[in-house]
Amino acid sequence: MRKLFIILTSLLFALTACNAMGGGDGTETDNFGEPPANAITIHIIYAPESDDYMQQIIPAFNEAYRNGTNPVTGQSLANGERPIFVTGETGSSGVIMQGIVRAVTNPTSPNAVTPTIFQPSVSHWLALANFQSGRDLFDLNDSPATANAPVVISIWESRLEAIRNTTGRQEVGWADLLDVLNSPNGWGDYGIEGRQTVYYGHTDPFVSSTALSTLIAEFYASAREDGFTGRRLTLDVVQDADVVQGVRNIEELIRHYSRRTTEFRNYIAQGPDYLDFVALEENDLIAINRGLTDFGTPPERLVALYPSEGTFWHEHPFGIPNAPWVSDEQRQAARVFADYVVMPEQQQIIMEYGFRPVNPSVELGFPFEEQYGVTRQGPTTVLDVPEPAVIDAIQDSWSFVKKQADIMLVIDTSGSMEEDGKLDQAIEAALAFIDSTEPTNRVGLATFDDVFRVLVDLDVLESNRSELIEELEDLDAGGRTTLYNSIVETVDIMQDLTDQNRIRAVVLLSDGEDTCDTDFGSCESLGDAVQEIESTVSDRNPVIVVPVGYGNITSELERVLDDIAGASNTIWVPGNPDNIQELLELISSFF
Amino acid sequence: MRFELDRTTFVLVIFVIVIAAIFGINQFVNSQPPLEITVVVDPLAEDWITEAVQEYNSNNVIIANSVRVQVNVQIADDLEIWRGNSGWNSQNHPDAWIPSSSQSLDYAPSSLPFETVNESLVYTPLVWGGFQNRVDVITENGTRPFDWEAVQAVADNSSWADGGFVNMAINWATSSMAGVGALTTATASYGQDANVTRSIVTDASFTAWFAPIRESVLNSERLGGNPAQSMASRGASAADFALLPESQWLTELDSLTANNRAFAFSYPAYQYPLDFPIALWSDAQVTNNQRTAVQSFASFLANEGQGIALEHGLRPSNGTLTENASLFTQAEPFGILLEMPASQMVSVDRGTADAIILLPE
Repeated sequence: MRKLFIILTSLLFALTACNAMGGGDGTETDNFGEPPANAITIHIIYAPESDDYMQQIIPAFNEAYRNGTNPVTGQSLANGERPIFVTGETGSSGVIMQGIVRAVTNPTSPNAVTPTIFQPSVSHWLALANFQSGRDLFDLNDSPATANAPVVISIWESRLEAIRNTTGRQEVGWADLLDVLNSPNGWGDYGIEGRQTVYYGHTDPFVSSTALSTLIAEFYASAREDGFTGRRLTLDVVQDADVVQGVRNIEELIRHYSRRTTEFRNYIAQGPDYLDFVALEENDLIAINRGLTDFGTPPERLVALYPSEGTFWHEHPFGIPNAPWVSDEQRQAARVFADYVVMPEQQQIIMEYGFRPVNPSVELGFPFEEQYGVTRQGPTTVLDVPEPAVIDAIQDSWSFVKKQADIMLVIDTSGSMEEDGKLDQAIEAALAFIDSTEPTNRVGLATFDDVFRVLVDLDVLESNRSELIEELEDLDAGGRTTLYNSIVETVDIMQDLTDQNRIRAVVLLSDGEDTCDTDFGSCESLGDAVQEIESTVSDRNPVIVVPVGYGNITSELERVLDDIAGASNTIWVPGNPDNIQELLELISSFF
Repeated sequence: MRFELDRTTFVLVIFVIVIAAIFGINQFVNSQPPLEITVVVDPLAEDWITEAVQEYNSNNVIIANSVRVQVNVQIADDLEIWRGNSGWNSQNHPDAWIPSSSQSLDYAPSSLPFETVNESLVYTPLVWGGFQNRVDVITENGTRPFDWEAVQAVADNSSWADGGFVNMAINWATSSMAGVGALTTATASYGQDANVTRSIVTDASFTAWFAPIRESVLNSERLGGNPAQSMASRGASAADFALLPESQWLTELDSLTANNRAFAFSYPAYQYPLDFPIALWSDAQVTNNQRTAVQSFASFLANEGQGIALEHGLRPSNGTLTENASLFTQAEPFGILLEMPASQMVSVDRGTADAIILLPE
């Protein structure tokens, strides 16, 4: 009978195997692989912070279909059931929202964006897209949340404890942070030694969800301070002069801005000397405390302050545009992908990156631990999301409420800049910068070769734009490179600007090492230049220097640029004819 | 010459013949293209129907002797269909529709020729649920019912005594019959009358009474199709309390009550029919096989499908549980009833429903 059993078993196995055969056999050419035959292809543009987990989730989803399995049901594909293939890319929420609106209002625009799924960090952008396009592009109630992250004020533990000890309250909010600023001796009155000025930072509310939510929260805080007791901000309130001034007061705390949260993670990770607090999504705070930034583990723990006035949840919704570029079958496919993302296995992956699961069946676990600066409870007070028209008005107020900047463009006009068109490249970058920067910023122009000279004094762009352009177009190259002397002189000039509370920045465009010759006068050293920059670090508005290096960057020059940038905790960037836009974005991100 | 088989070989040969015959018939039927029917279902029944369809399809149900039936599911909320956004016509339509409420069949335009196959496959009542500390305030420590009158009084204060605005959740009424139902019961409660008309909904004194409730529910538009899930994952920062279908509460119960979090349920005095009928698209082009296939699937749902429905928090159509239903018994200590309380059912005409939908806007 044993022989019989073996034969029968083999037979049954063979029959089962016959029935189970089928499925594609795609070859991966990139991270998303090749689509299986007859697949419904959908494209998702997701918030940058989702990239880590999407790089795992999308390929796994595609792989299941490639193997002939529906990844949601776990069953083999039914007769006639078409596989789904997902491609994805990151995009800053504000930029993509504008692109989608453009695709509807001006479909031929080169900046039009047409995803099947748009996953911004927060549903504010979906509401804004509806408002700005004048149609129901997104159904807010049918845009499922996929990952939860509250916006928190990330503050160094010592700072938070100092505030709690001084106020005698555990609950801390925006009003308490403003009290530190307005206190005669700043942090000194709270028992913190060293720098007294409060430094704060956030990103651009036209690009970043965190910044938009933060700006709305600042309007709430200012309105409450002004006696507003309603639950939702209205147009009247956000346009009230006193409320707007209150937001400007908060923005006065800004050390500098940044275009995207990605960069800010690195800035704050440098420690309490650099910034006191910054608005971040909770997942970013966790990443910093886990040492997942360029700076490794921070010198002390950052903790999540869930402001007592309230905050917003960023729910990372899947918005499927009601637009002609999304077919019915793509819409259904997008829903299948959404269902997959909220399944426990995927939510577990998402949680590992510091997002709270939207699927309650997934128990909150690592990394939601005290050592990473967060509480499992999270925020208790959440702000009401204003009407889209009010959010739009808040965004529009940005150029008025943001902290203004004084920016000195310093261009190397030594002889070596003549080679390979480097001076022309620097001039082109400077002209593009003048064209793109806020007209209320004050901009000046200086050059250096054998000597340092200010060609155009700092003034609001509205007044000196034509003079700046004229001088830039007349620049010639010749003579030596007195780089360090120029840094010292420029920082001196910027340091004398104490009349207004503005960001003070130097954009330095140069190709090389200092070739100052003592035969022609005194020469400062790299150490002198660095020391000069560092001497402003405790000022209310420290001078920041952003170097741009042209030509062949030798390792020696790289060290010099590192030291100069490091003195004010910025970064240096190489300049070339192909990266002017990138360069502008980086430079502008500081103001 | 005599050919002899030993016993083992004989059994083996017979077995192979039987298997081959079964396999052959199976292969023949499977090789024929199945009759595929498409069933559109409201999101409130999505999980139940999706699981039931998997089981139904795996059974390879045969009708008319040799026609294998396979069911495809599409999801669409009732309002999208009866408000005329489905795009269905005689050339392009599903074979069957399972709306969340029989009211949707009444509201559907005559251009959608649906014929009811089963008036109610399952049922889920609307249930108040809230975090205990808030429920204690609403009910004044249990001295008044957790229902609209008490909720309106709390919403009228706008804030809780310990700070924070009153946040109530409902399913959003422009995309969910459960939302329409919740607001319908509010209107009935206001008039203490199950006969709700459009004139009551638009009456100035009612809108004044409703105004603070409107303020308190506005945030629920951002909570998605399942506010209970948001409350389970985000706690009271999503909403303090809500009036939602019982099935949504039950499937989130573990998370809502995790870490001994105190939570309470209560049934409103008025109910709305979330009764999940199944209807067949019935026009001259529909074949007998299509009709039989829909009936076969409806019969499956009304019988074998009931056990699956219970696992998704949906009751049998009469509302009373007759078999072991662990989701419900588990929720009993929090206020879920195994037998339905005597609530008054409220149904409204299409014009009144249209007015109700606009209440939160």
